[in-house]
Amino acid sequence: MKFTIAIQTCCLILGVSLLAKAQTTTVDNGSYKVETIALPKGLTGETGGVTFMPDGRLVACFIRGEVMTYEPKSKQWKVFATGLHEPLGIMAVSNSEVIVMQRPELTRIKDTDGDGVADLYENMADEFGLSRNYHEFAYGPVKDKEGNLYIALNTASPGGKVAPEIRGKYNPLGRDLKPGSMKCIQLYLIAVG
Amino acid sequence: MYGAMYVSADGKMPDLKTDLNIPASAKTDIPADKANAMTMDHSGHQMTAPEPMPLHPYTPVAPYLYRGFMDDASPAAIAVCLPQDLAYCWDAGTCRLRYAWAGGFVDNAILWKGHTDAVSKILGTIFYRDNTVYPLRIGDVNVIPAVKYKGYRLVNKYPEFHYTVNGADVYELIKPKADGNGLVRTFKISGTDKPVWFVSNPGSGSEVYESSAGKWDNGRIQLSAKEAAEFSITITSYTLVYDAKRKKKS
Repeated sequence: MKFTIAIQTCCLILGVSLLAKAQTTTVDNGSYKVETIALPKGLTGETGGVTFMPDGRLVACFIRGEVMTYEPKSKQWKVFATGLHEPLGIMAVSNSEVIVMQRPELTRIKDTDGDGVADLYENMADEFGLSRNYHEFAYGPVKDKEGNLYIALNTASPGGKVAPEIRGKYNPLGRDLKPGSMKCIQLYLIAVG
Repeated sequence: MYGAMYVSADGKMPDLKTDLNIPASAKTDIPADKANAMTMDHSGHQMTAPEPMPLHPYTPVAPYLYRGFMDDASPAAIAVCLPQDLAYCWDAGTCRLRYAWAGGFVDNAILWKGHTDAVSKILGTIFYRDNTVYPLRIGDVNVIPAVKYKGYRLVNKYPEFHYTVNGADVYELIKPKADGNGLVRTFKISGTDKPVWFVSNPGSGSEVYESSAGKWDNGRIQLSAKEAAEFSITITSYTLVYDAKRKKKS
C-alpha cells in the first residue's frame, strides 16, 4: 500500500455541516430517502466524515475528536473513539476498525478487545509538514482500485500564523513581497515534509 | 438538514396532503388566515436560558486525552489528563514527554471553534519540563537518536505510546505517582542488544529522579538491554511536594 499526498493550493472551506444528521436509506430501486437523525446530548453536529460499516452502522467523526457509531434499527449512538484532532475524513475497514484523517496524521483506529470501543490508534502516515496554521486542513483517505490510499492537505493561510516549532521544513516559496506585506512573508508556508 | 428530502428515479412525489413531513400551515386545504396564524404561533418557543451543553456525548473521566495544538510542542501534541489532578503534554512529532502540569486540564473552546489559530489552553501550573536534547539514548550516550512515532494503545484508559528510537521499539506509559507529587514513566524497550541510557534534566534542583533499574552516572541512568526490557523512572516534583504541604497546613 502506498500513500499519495495532494497539496491543495486553493482555499477549501472547512467541511463541517449538518450532514451527520442525515441518514440515507434505499426506499426503492434507484432512489433513496433522507431522514433526520437526532444527535445525542453533548455531541456537536460538526462532522468531518461520514461512512457506513459493513454491518450497516453509520460511523462519523466530529470536530471535538469523537468517532461515533449509529445503529439505524435501534437508533442508538455509541462512542467508538475519542480525543482526535479535527478529524476530517473517515473510512470503514471493518465493523471494528476505521481509518481517520486527523490534522497531524492518518490514523488506524481499532477495537482489538471486542468491547465496541477503540483501544488502538496506529499512525499510518504523518510524514508531511505542519505549521500549526489553522488552515492546514487534512482530508481523506480515498482508496483506489489497487488499494492505495490518498489524502489531501490544505496549505496554510496568510490570515493565520506559523508556530515557532513546526513539523517538516519551512519553504519560503510563494511568499508575497509586495510593500506592506511583511505579515504575509512570515505567514505563507507550503507544508511539505 | 431540516425537513425531508425525497430522491426518486421516476420523479413521483408523495401526496402533499397526506405527507407527514409537510407542516399543517403549508398544506393548501387550510385557509390562509388559519395557516398564517399557525405559522406565527411562537407559544412553544423557549425563552429561558438554555441548559449548559456537556462537552461530549460521554463524560470524560481521567485518564483521557485530547490531540491538538499546544504551546511549546510540535503541531502533533497530545494532552493527557491524569488522576490526581495532573496532566502532561506528550509530543508525537518528537516522541517525548514535553511538560507536565497540575491543577487542571485544558480549555479547548477556541481550538474547537475552528478556522482560527488556537491552542489548547493549559489550566493549571507547569511543574515539570523535559529540558534534555532527548531523554533516551541507545548504543552511544553521546548520539542523539532518530525517532519515529507509531501510535498508542489505551491500557486501562492510559495511553501507552509506541515509537522507535534508532529502530528499537519503545513503549512508554505515564501514570501519576501514588502521592500525586510527580509522575511514573514506565518504559519497555525491545529490538536492541545495546545499552540504553535515560538522561535526566541537566542541573535541575526542582525534581528528583529514581529508577527501578540501571546505574546512575552523572545525571544519566545506564541500563543493559535486558534491564531496559522494562523499567520505570519516577520523577518527584519539589514544587508539588511543597504545594501539598502548604495545603495540608492551611
